[in-house]
Amino acid sequence: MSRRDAPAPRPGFVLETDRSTPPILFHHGEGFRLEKLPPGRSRVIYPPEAIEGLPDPDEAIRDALANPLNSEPLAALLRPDMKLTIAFDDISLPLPPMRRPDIRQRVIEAVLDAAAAAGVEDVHLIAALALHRRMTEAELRHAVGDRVYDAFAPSGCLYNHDAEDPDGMVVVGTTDQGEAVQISRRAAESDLIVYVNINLVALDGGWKSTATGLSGYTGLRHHHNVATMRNSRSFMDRHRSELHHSNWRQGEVLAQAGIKIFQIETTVNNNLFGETGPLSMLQKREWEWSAKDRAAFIAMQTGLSMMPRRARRQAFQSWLAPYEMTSIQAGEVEAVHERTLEHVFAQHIVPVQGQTDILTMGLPYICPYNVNSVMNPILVMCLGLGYFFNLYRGRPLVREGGVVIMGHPTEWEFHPVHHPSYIDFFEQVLTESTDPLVIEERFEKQFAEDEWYRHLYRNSYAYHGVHPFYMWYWGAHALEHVGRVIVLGGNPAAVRRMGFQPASTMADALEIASDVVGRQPTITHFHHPPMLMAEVT
Amino acid sequence: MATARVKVAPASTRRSEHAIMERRRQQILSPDRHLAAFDLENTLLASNVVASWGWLATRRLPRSEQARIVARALAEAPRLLKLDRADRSDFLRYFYRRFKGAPADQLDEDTWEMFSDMLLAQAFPDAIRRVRLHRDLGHRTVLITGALDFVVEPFHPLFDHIVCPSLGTASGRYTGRLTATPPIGENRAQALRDYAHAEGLDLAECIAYADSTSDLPMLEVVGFPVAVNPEPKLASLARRRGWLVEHFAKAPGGPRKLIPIAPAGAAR
Repeated sequence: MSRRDAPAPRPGFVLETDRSTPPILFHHGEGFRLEKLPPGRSRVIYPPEAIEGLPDPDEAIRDALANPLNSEPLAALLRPDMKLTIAFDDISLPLPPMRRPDIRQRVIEAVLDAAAAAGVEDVHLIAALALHRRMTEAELRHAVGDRVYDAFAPSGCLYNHDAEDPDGMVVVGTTDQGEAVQISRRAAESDLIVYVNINLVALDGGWKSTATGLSGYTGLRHHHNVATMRNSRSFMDRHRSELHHSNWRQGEVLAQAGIKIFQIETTVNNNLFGETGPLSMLQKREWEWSAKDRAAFIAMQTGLSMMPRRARRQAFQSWLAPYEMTSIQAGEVEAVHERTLEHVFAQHIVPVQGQTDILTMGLPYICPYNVNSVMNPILVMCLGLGYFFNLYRGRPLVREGGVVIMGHPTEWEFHPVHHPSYIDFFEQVLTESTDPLVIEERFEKQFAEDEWYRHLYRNSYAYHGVHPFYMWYWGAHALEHVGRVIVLGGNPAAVRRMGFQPASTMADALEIASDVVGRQPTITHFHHPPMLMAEVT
Repeated sequence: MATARVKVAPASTRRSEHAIMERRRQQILSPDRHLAAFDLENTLLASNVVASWGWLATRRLPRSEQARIVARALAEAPRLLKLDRADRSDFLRYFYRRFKGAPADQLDEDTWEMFSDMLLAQAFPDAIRRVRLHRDLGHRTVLITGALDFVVEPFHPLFDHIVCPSLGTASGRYTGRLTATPPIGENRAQALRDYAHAEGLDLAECIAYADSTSDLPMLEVVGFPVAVNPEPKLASLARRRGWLVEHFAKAPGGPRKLIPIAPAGAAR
């Protein structure tokens, strides 16, 4: 049965567990756990099934460029003597990376066709990675395709953004709240910036694409800080997110400075693991697993248990998601982004009534900052208390003073090339304090301005020196909100270093949590990925 | 009430050794020291000149050719090892001849990729942190190594001064001949003496980190020698002489390179 003939995708929903509920799947790094949740007081939030992708993505792209929102068509904005910069999202999107052709490739090829038709000769393509690591040649080829890479990279017209290039960055102004607006000089001096985005979750896109993606520490420090993150309730809810408000103010300054942006945003569906194939059971509900699914899961668990950790990591990191594009909109930044959010929410939102005492989550092997890399303990914290915790609208899923139990092996492991400042952050900063405010005040500047980290960011493949701080701040709202964080199945030493409590079994975790939430707490499991966002009333 | 005597074990040797090492560590991490000199191989990272050559030589080759180079190098390994043990300077002179004819620009460019793909991946984070700590304390930092200048160039921001051999060039290609005697053995100590003298630094207030007995002249010339991941002979010597011993390791979880070759198709 083809997808077109399949029944309509079902929305996400909340399951109240009872004695007949089977064990629930928890992602657990490069592996999985099946956990039985206490019946009668537990519920599981399931993500919506994958909505249908656009039947002809290339046609949809052409249509979006020709019929943009609040803007002239792209072709009308192009002229032969202009300076055109195409900026695109980096390796952190989408997650996991998608099968070829990547959406960026499709869109960039269409934009380049239009530029060629208009006779534009001065075209640069920039991976808008802000303070993330540089993308490798293979990663760039995957994102933009071989044809684009071979046409532009050898002549130096396709490259990674360098936020520490003293000659390559410019401050174009200051917001009414004193926030400096810094951006790539090439982008600022272009007649037109075309930004190509993949809006995986509601956090992405809008003014954040350019005001953050093409910026540097001078601009980012105004919103990548503890106060902003604590005032973003949540940072996935654009209209209640101080992070976004700040980016929008910076966007206004960009617009006032005469920087013209043609924003192209796309959304994808929830088809992360495939409707069929070896991982398809991961996007099904446990009681709907067929005998074949159960056999495949057992075989996978057995195989994984026999593999060394390094091989397991390689196997998981090689997974490419069969994402389908569900929408594309182009034109003026804010109008485009509002439409994009509608599509994101149509795929992700699950209504949930009331908060819970204990929020459980199973953290997968990947987050935005460890693609082709290692999920170190700081990234575990960021994924659980940053991304997963903030995937709400309205109120957090867990009540104030409640407990978060997140499952992940949290190995004491780091990628020495990608995350050198994380290693030092773990050894030098977290041994002194885990309080985001103290960390920010005492250590941030020193790491942000460190010459060695700067050198590795610019010339190797390292995240910027300040990046581990931002990861810690990403969890600042959760750290302030919850009473205790327990890491299920985590390396005890690494977990304790971060100020959390380790537990080897779910029973132990619930026992530890009982000090905070009593003996009969309500429990909610956040069954993610595939993606979901809870609308908590 | 009756009392009883309980036999208690003497303080563990391990604990007291740990305290001694910590005391020695505090001595070298004093702002009073002047300079910290570092060897590269097995002190800052787990790699060597043969691995660097293997990576650079295979950088622009297809996979089939890479395998041929590796097989040839493996067959040659026992002879190279013997030569290295006999005289490291002679070994380096002999080994570096295989860079003859290599385009200098291309090698300089490829080195930066090797820096990430192999050298940093095999680096000891604690050792790098130690170099940075010395700099924070106001100590001069010096790298003294037998590795070639273009190989160590990416480490420049960590050091105030680098002493390393260079290859001659002719028409934009390396000649395979060293331009000066490599800083090995006694030359290494002399290089450190010369630098300290030129900068007006007192060697008695200097620190040197190295892993091998071939580095003894350098270790003995300073007031504060540190044996890093020492081979058995150096470990025993360090223990007898009361030197600080450090055990630096690669980052847990980092990529491992069993064979030092560049990723296939890395450069086109």
